[in-house]
Amino acid sequence: MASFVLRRLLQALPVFAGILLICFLLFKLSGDPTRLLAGERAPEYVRESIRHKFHLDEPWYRQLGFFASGMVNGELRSYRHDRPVVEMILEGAAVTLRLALGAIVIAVAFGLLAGLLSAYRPHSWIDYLSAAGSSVGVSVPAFWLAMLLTLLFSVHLGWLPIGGYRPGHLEYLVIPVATLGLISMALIARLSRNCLMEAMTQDYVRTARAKGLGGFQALVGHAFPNALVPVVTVIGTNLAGLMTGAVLTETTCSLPGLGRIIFQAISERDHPVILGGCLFFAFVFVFVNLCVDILYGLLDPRIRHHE
Amino acid sequence: MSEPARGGIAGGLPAGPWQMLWRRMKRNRLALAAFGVVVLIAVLALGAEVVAPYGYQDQFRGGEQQAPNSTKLTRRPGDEAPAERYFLLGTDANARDVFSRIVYGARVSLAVGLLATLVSLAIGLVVGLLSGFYGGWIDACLMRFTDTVFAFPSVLLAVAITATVDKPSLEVVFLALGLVGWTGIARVVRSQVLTIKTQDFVVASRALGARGFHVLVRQIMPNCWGPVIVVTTLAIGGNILGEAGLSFLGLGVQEPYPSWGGMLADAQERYKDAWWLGVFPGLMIVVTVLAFNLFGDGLRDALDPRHTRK
Amino acid sequence: MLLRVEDLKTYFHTRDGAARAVDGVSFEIDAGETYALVGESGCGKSVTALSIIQLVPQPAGHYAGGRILYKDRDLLRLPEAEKRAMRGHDISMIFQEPMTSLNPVFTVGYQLMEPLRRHQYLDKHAARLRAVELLGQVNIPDPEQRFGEYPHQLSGGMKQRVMIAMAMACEPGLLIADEPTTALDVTIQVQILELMKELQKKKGTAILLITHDLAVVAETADRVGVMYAGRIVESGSRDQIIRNPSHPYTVKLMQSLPRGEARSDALQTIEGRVPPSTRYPAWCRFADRCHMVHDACRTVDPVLLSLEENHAAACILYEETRPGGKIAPAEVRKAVPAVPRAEAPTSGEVLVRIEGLKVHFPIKKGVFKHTVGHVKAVDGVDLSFKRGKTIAVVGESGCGKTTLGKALLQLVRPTAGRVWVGDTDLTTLSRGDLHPFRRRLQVIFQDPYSALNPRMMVGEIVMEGMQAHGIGRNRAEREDRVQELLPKVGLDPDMIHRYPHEFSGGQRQRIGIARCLAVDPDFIVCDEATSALDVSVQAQIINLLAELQKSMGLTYLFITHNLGVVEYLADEVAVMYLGRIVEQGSTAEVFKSPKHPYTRALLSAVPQIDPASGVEKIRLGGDVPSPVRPPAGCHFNPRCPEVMPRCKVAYPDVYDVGGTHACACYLYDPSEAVGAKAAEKEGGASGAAGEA
Repeated sequence: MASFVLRRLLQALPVFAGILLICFLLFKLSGDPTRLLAGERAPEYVRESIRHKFHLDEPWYRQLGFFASGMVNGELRSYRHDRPVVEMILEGAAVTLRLALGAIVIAVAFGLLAGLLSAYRPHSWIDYLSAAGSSVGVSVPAFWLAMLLTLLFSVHLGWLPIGGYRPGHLEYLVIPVATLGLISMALIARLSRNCLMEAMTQDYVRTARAKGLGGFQALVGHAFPNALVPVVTVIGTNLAGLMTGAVLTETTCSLPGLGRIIFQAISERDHPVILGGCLFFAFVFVFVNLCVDILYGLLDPRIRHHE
Repeated sequence: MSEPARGGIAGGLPAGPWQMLWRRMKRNRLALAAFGVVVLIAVLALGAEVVAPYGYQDQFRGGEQQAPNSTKLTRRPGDEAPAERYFLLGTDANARDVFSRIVYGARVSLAVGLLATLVSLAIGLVVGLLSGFYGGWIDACLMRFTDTVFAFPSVLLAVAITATVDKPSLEVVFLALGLVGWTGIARVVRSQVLTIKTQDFVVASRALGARGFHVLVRQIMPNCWGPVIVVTTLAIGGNILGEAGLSFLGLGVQEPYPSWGGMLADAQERYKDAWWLGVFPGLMIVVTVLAFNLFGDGLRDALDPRHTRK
Repeated sequence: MLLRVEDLKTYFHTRDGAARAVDGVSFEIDAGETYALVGESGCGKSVTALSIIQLVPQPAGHYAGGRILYKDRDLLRLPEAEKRAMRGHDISMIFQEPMTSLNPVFTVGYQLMEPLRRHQYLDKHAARLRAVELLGQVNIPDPEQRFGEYPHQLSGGMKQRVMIAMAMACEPGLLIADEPTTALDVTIQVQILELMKELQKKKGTAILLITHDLAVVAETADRVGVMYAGRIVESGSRDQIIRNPSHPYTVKLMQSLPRGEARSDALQTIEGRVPPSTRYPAWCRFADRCHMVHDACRTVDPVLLSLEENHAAACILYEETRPGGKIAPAEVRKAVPAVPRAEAPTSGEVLVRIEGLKVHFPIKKGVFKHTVGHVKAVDGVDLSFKRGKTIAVVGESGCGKTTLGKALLQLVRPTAGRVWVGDTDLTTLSRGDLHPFRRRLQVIFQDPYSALNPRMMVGEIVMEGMQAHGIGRNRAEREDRVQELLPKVGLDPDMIHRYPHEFSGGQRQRIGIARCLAVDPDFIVCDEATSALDVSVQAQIINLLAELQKSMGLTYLFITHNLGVVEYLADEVAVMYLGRIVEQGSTAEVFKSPKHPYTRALLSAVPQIDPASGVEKIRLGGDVPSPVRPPAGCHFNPRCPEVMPRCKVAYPDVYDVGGTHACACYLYDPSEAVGAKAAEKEGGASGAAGEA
């Protein structure tokens, strides 16, 4: 187990390094940040001093070094806001994580339920309803769904606030969580139905039926634990995807989340914040995948014993 | 791929794998309907000049923010006198016809959806084939690279790429989406190659003395197409969503040229009063993406290996 | 009467209409007896079994008629709840694939407790005790420990034992065994069949055995039904069917079995294919393939006619009212003409020789994937192949025989050793230098489905090798050559523009053979080339291989686990166990007087069609050990009935045991007094076996 976790973390190192390199390459491609930081008409000496302050006048490999060491020791500071990047990222992440976790809980609970019901009665009305819902669900742009929900619940019914965020007030999170949750739910419902149907054709389900188990017992007791393995993978990648999908939802609902912070940083050429944000996302991604792999081991003894 | 038939069998054409696929597709009415919708939207896009009643940047003074299905006396710059005009889906704050803008917007969505997917397909195919076929350190390096790109928040990476240029354009958008979205295709191709590589017919080909490249191109690649076509079709839908997202963030095709995402971005301030500005472009996105997804699902069902041996 | 099936009809909805998988089947099973349904694939025997336990896949499958009476209750008309109560309690079932039939995510114990808790309402503790007891009853060592293990930790034979324990948990009246040993090695098959017999005797369970293997039927069944195209075409006691087959189909089926005694004749084959179940004719379904067919066969649908007590066949030859009177079954058997088998001329020249061949695959583990050991798939093999001869390498799964074939062809590069073709050692050649040799050494595979590229037309498949070796100047010339070649393997030349999916398994195998022949090889590795085929099709392919050997002077390395085929076809035999050859000699030498204890056990384990052959089964304990850590000394020592202390110390040398016969066993070490004595003792025993 320890060796497994260690190996996965070692494998993640090149991913972090790769992200640093890709970000750095994009920074170099996107031109001189001082133009935006100091303004188009700023005199050259002002720009010069900014460049000096942020080491932009040094050779590229030194700049890369500053980014790398700044990231590791947490001392990297925003170009624009004069705050440590770590602080800004964590502030935004608090909002985004709440959003993502809320969404995933809804998605998993209802998605699995819909998948189970569909697989239990394939080609019934509930199956068709769930299929239609999930087909539409995966085709809806998150920001548009948020707009529609706002239009309905905030504008027409007036039950919820229109956008914005106040810490501690959950009502601001309802629409963004519902938006992301519905979209992920569609994905999970679809996938879990397919995996369950697949599992129901397996020999061991026939064995279970031959032992005298009913259709529903075979589905829940034998097919479901097997079907969970691929579903968990998708939940994992989905959680990571949710964090990024949050960018658009956060914009629509004016939430000060991580996605918005990075988006802001990109348009302001605030390189340290962009880099920090991307690395944070990558970290979440690696962490979630690690959890998924560990979960695999719990779900499937073959994987557990192989490691 | 078939040579002119010499002494072919009587009683019709040989049923090749593609014909079988088509025969199965024909039975799936939902997928056919989806394909019909895709064709319809393509017709809208290609024939926008004919289909749209007005130009995408025509402003009709006096007809600002009209509700759908309304007729109003308006005056276009250059008009001699105001005229009665019908607006099927209403007008926006700049008094432009929403229906016409939606029709022109189909061009952007389809173009980006297809071109970005082509870019992804090209990269994904090369990475997947090389990685799966050669294995070893080539595989290790390429897969680490794929992991890295996959670990990037995709929307943000696309945003960052578009941000490297001063003024985003269609080319930048589809390149950005294409450069971000190939990882899924690469993985599917690689896993296909790994499965097919061990099949007896590939071993037979090697035993007959076929060279590596020949084995890859003639034996392995043709057998990868099924799942690759499926992920590619589904990727088109994903890229249309991606384009809408970028345009929504203001990083897509620039005004006054319409895109569905851009129209929604414009509507953001106003849809609380003028619901049609927020509803119709979004509906078009959903319909288009849904059509591609359902078509892709249909292809998947038709290609499902469980049907093939029966 | 425990079970009575009356005119059962189970149909499936398909796009081409109703598929009549089971189409009017009637039979009875008494308490405590074994009834076997035997037939080739697709004849409806498995669907019959699933119908009885009421697990035909719904909604595609449905019961179009008939009754299934279990203790006088009609199972087709039971409410679902009562069907559930019946399954696993009164009637239980075991399946062909023990690998996939157990749920991989639950422990063996959990799955075993399920029927106990469901049907016998045992509490957790009682169920656990009973489950452990059951594991012990099916001879699983360490039942306490196995209880908590997962299926993937058990071998195939062990899993099938668990399946049996599960099926027998509630002591059902009827056990349905659907090809229970088909996926298992023959030494394990013996254990499983014996276990089933033993439990049957103890509990008085009736067994419905579904199988394609007539020899298994001959050894285990009391009564037999032979199925063809959804019907029972002949039924009777085991002896009646085996000694006195009467329906032309049964007759042909028996004669298409490859056997050592029949070496001088070509195998009998059944031409054509079973008609599709959606389009059965209104007359005899076997008419188009029958050697006794006459006009009247295409006018009536035959019913089972009684021949003698309990013995019936569905063939109008046995109709009393037939013009010329009813025919005697012996005439049907005599009507099959014997064709002498093609014998290849041999020059005695050695074509291919392998020396000390080893293939070791590294096992990687840990953070940095370092090598922690090797799978010694092939571990020092010497063989030489004379032109025009067939050498068979036999052994159970995992013994390394397939890897041996691949290493010989340089498809897997050997770790050590030499492969000589004439004066050239292939193992030293670069890819490019190997190219001309690829033409001379070819391969035929087991699975006819994966052996052909589904995206290429037959012509392209056959031409591929010609292109690679520059045979034929242009496409037209190559295509001409393909059209000449296809008839030689029994295919229509017009087939070149068709895709593999349009062909049956046997036809695909012929295409694979044509692909080899297109490059004019000298030497062909046949890797289980007939193992995936039905008996009658297998006979066709074996005949084809024998003919081609004669006409083209081919040399075969025949890799197989099917000892019947080896005895019929091979000139020499090498027996492989855990990467090494333990015994080698001419087919007669090895089969008539096997020397190595493993060979003796292996040969005795093969089910015999003639139940009176009297070969005593040698039961080997345990499973084949892992080739990662083979036992020290002789790899066979932990399972060997004649193990000596020195066997555990060092691997024995190869000792000459007369003629071309050699054996790697200390029993034959001339310097060893014990060895000489044992050899003497064994001489007497093998004499008895030899007469078999």
